Amino acid sequence: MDEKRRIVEKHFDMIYKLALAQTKNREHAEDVVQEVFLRYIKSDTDFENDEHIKAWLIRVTINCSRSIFASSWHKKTVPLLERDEKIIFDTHEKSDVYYAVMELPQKYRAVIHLFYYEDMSIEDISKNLAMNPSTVKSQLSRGRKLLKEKLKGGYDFV
Amino acid sequence: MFRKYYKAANDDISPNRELIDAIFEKAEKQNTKPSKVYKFGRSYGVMVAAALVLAATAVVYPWLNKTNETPSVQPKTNSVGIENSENKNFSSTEYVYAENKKESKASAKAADTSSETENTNSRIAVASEQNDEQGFLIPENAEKSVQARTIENLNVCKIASEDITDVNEAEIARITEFLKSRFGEKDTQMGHEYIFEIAGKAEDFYIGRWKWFVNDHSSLLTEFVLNFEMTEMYEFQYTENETIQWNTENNLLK
Repeated sequence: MDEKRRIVEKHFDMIYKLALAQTKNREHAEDVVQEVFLRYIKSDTDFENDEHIKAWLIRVTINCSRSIFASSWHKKTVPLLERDEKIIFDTHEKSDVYYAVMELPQKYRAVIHLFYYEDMSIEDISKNLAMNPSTVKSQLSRGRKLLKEKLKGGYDFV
Repeated sequence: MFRKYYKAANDDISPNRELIDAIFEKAEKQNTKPSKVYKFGRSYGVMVAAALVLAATAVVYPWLNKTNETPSVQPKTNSVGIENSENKNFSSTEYVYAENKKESKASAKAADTSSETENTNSRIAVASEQNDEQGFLIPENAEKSVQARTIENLNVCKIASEDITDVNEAEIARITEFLKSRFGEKDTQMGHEYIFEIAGKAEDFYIGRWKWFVNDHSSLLTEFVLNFEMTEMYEFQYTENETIQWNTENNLLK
């Protein structure tokens, strides 16, 4: 269990940020994070190394994020309190960029987040998301195009 | 530039790391066996339960034949063994199956109890048949313990969206008021404000979420079921296929 705890602590931030980028809601992101790590703790998969675990966690996070909205439980949930949970950043550049990404369709957000925040290569993303590299490439390209439109060309997308 | 600002923005986001402890606590709780059945629906559960009992019997039967090397004991099918057995002490198998049928009729749609049922029934079937063929006597209280293992260990609630109905605002207010009077407005140690949400109600209980408000966002503490009388409240976990389960040993209202 100590080893599992070490892994959870190590990847906690990364998974939370990915889940947040996918769900756009802190509460749902926490639900996803909880579900992902519970699955990991219970999993008897024979992981080869930390990279293998990371890839597994990313894939499960994407899947959980997609399925969370499909659940009848979430459709049925009636929040008693509506609160503005928008994240406030200290500079407008961060805010512009972050919320531009959040406005992208979910499939582009995953690729953009992994490429620009996790510094993953197209090949790594394709392995992690079990997608064809050319699909990743086209989603990345389409995501960038949409971002350029949203940000009115104000940022360089290298 | 985009990369730099996107990274910086994400670096500014700090997740609630208290969640790590909550995850491990939840994982530990999920390791404990649940203990009562709440099920909805009828025919599907009966069919699945019956199929699983037959499948379990078919699986263990060859193994039982192999393990019993005493030539004087003739292999027999499950039903024949029960019907023709002259030793009345071995009726536990029949009893278990009868209880399963009753339970299934009373509260079916228990597709997701299947693995637990299958395992339990397999174990019971193996134990009973082994006892039968080896001529062991089963203690007088055996039926009770078998019944407990078979029925009370299961605590799975099959929920489809149509099983949940909305709760009106007056009811929500009444439940929320009760929960706040019972648990307080906020956490005494952390000072975080509690939020109770009622997602809906099923046949005889409400389904809700208990959260607290940390800094600028709400964070889930647990999801719960609360009976209509508001005397029992349990944390539940999701299982597969939109089912939930809870352990009746941990009543949050006690």
